Amino acid sequence: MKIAISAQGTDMASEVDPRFGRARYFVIFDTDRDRITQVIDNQAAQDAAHGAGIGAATKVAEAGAETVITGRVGPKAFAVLHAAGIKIVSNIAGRVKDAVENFINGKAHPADGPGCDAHSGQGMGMGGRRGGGAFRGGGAGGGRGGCGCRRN
Amino acid sequence: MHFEVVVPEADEEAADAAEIDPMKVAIASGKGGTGKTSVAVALALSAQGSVEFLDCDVEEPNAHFFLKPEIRLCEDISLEVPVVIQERCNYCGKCRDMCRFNAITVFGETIMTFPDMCHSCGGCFLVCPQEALEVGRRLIGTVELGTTGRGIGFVQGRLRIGEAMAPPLIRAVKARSTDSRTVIIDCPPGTSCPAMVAVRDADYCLLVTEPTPFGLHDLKIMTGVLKRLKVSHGVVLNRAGLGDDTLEHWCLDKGIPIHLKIPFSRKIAEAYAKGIPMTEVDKDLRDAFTRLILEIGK
Repeated sequence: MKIAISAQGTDMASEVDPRFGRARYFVIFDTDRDRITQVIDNQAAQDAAHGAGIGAATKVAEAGAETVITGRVGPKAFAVLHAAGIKIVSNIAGRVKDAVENFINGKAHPADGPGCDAHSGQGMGMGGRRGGGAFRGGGAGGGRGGCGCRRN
Repeated sequence: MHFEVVVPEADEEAADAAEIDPMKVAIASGKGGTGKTSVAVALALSAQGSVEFLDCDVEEPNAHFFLKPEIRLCEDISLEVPVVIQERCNYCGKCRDMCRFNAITVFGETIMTFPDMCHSCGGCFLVCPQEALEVGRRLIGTVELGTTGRGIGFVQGRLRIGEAMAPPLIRAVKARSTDSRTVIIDCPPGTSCPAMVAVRDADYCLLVTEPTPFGLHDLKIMTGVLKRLKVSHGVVLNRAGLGDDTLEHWCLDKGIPIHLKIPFSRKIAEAYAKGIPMTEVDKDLRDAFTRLILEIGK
């Protein structure tokens, strides 16, 4: 079985990247062969203005992963992963090596919903546009919530 | 045969007056809550001839509270988004690779669309070799048209709650302008896309600000933007007397005219709270706004 881990580096000693959509890399670990079989460079999604999670989830699905280990997954990425039948283990931090071992040993379990609202990985949500206006309310709006995606 | 053509002087003057082009004035700010709508409404009420008011602050249009127009037409505005015809799709992924906004994705034998991510560029329809996409619609808001009691033409946009894309709706509001002699555009705050779309193609932009560090900070950004867009501009200083004179010195230094100072006054605030324009409660201000509109008309 292949596991995709969002990672800040390309090997087992790397830290798990807390962001799913804008993770630096995805390390694909094959449990049958007990080693990393692929590293996905997620730079394109990091640079994307919108929809990083959708792009990242698509790459992970195409790599044939059955489980994702990461920090947080937004609603749109969750929808794609869910449609692809990929299990999500979220709220994971620390080294990739430990994350994989904990999962294999049954110490970490898949979640059944997205771990955060849209855009929370970007530091400031869409509400930020209104920022600064004393009479407009605070600027640090926490994104737009629900994903509104549609599976065709 | 000889004709002597004599043009009377009076006619010459009339011809000059008629030659004044229709003027589009955008009221913008950078910083929110500085008084854009108050100034825009005051200008509209002080202008001569046919006047039209476009409320382009589509996320929270509020000029109607002051102008009290009678709305006679309400149009839905929507964007074209792709809808998949499942039996035609061969999952080639060309639409996914084309979309810069990740509004459509393909993996294995699954295709998913995210209508709220779509910017309606139409690229996916063009690249699909299977003609597997048909046009669907995403409602982004409404445009309302009407007239105020004083005969001011009124158009406002109202963005659907939850919708993120204001620019197409702002363009729809502006497209419904009838090019009256004076068009007043009440712009959204900020310096991002919605504000750009609203001020673009204005003949003049009035920047409403206040003499505070926040006012100056955002004014600097906005003047930079307007220079790029090549829109001439000047400042209306609201709540004058509050804060300090740093902003005035900055304007002087940069050669940006301060057309009008509106005092920090309880009387104006009380009128505002009742939906009464400041020109209705302060005759000096009314005269000042009449002078202002003539001044920027030159």
